[in-house]
Amino acid sequence: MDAAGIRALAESAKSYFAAIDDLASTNEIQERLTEILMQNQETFDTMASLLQIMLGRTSAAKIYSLYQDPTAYNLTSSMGMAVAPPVPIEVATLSCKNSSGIQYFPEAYIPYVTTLASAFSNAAQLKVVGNIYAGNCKSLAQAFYNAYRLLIVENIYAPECTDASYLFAGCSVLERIGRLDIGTPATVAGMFKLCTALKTVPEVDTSAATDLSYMFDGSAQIKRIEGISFKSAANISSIFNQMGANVEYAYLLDLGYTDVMPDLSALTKWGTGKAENLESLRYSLVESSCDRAAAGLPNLTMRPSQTSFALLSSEDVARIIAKGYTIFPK
Amino acid sequence: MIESQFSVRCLEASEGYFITQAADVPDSARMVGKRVILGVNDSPSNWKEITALEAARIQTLQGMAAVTAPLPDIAEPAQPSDPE
Repeated sequence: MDAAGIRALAESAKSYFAAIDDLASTNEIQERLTEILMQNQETFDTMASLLQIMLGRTSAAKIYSLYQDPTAYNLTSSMGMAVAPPVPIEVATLSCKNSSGIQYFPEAYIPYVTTLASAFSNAAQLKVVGNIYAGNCKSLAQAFYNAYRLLIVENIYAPECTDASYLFAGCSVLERIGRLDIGTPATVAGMFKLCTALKTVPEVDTSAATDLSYMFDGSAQIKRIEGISFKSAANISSIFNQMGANVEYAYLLDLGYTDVMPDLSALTKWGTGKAENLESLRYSLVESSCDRAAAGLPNLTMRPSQTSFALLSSEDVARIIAKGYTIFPK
Repeated sequence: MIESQFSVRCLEASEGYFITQAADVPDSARMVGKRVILGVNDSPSNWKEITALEAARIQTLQGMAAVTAPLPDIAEPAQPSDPE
C-alpha cells in the first residue's frame, strides 16, 4: 500500500474511532482496531499508522511502558493487547514468550536482534505474524514453539541463522508460512514437528544441516515440500514419521551425499497426480542424488513406496542403480 | 564419450518368504520386502530370505515404534555468543 493509501485508511480509521469515542477502555478499542486490521489485506503496512491514531485516543501508559527501553521489546505479559505495537528498530532483544493476549504481531525490522530463540513460544493467542527482517539473528530455535493458535507467518529473513530446530513445532493450526530465507542452519530438527494443519512446506536450505531428525514428525497434512537438502545429513531419524500419506510433491535434494538415507516409503503418493509431482520424484531420485558409484562410496539402499517406484521408467531405474543405489520398494 | 553397460539384477522373494538384509542389524533398521533391485556395487550375498511370520513380527515392531511423541520439553536454547 502506498503512502496515499495509508493516509486514506488512517483517515477512515480516525473517523471510525471518533464514532466510538464513548469507548473508554483500551481493550475495546483494541478489539475495534483488530476488526479494521482484519478487513484489510495490507494489515501490516498500515498498522503503525493506525496504532498512532489509537494512541492518541487511549491511555498510552501501558504501551509507553513498553518503549521505556527501546532496545528491549518485551510483551511476555502482553498487557491485554490483541495487537502488538510496532517494534522499534533499535530493539536488541525481543520476547513475546508465553504472552496470553497478543494475536497479531506486526512486520518488524530488527537488525540488532541476535536471537529469536523461543521469542514467541507458548504465545497462546498468537494468530498472525508479519514479515520479520532479522539480518543478524543467529538462532530461531523454538521461536514459535507450541504457538498452537498460530495461523499465518509471513516471510522470515534471517540469513545468519544457524539453528532452526523446533522453529514451528506444535503450531497445530498453522496453515501458511511465507518465504523462509534463513541461511543454512546446522540443525532443523523438529522444525515442523506436529504442524498438523500445514499443507505446504516452503523451501528451506538445509544443505549444511546435519540434524534433520523429526523435521516433519506427525505433520500428516503436508502435501508439498518445496525443497530440502540432505547434503550434510547425519541424523534423519523419524524425519518422515507419522506423515507422508498426503505428500505428492517433494524436492528431496542431494540424497546419498552422506551415508544416511531416509525411508521414502512413508511418502506413499509421492509423484502421483500432476506432472510436476512426478518431476519432483524423478529429479530427487535420478538427477539430484549423489553418484556414489563414481565417487567410490559404498552402495546405499533407497526405499520408495511401491506406488512411487511404479512411476519411474526403466531408464530412471537404470540410472539410479548405476549411481550405486539398491532400490527396495516398500 | 564413455559407454558402459551393466545388467539389472533383481532378487524376488520365494512364495511365503520375504527379503531382508543378510547383515546383523537391529529390528528397527531391518528392511523387509518382496523384491529388491541391486545397485551396481551391491551383491546378492548382502540379502537373505526370512519367513512371512518373521517379516510380520519385524513390521509390527516397527509400526509400534513409529508413534509420534508429544512435543518434548526443551531446555532454554543457548544464547548465541556475541562475536565481539
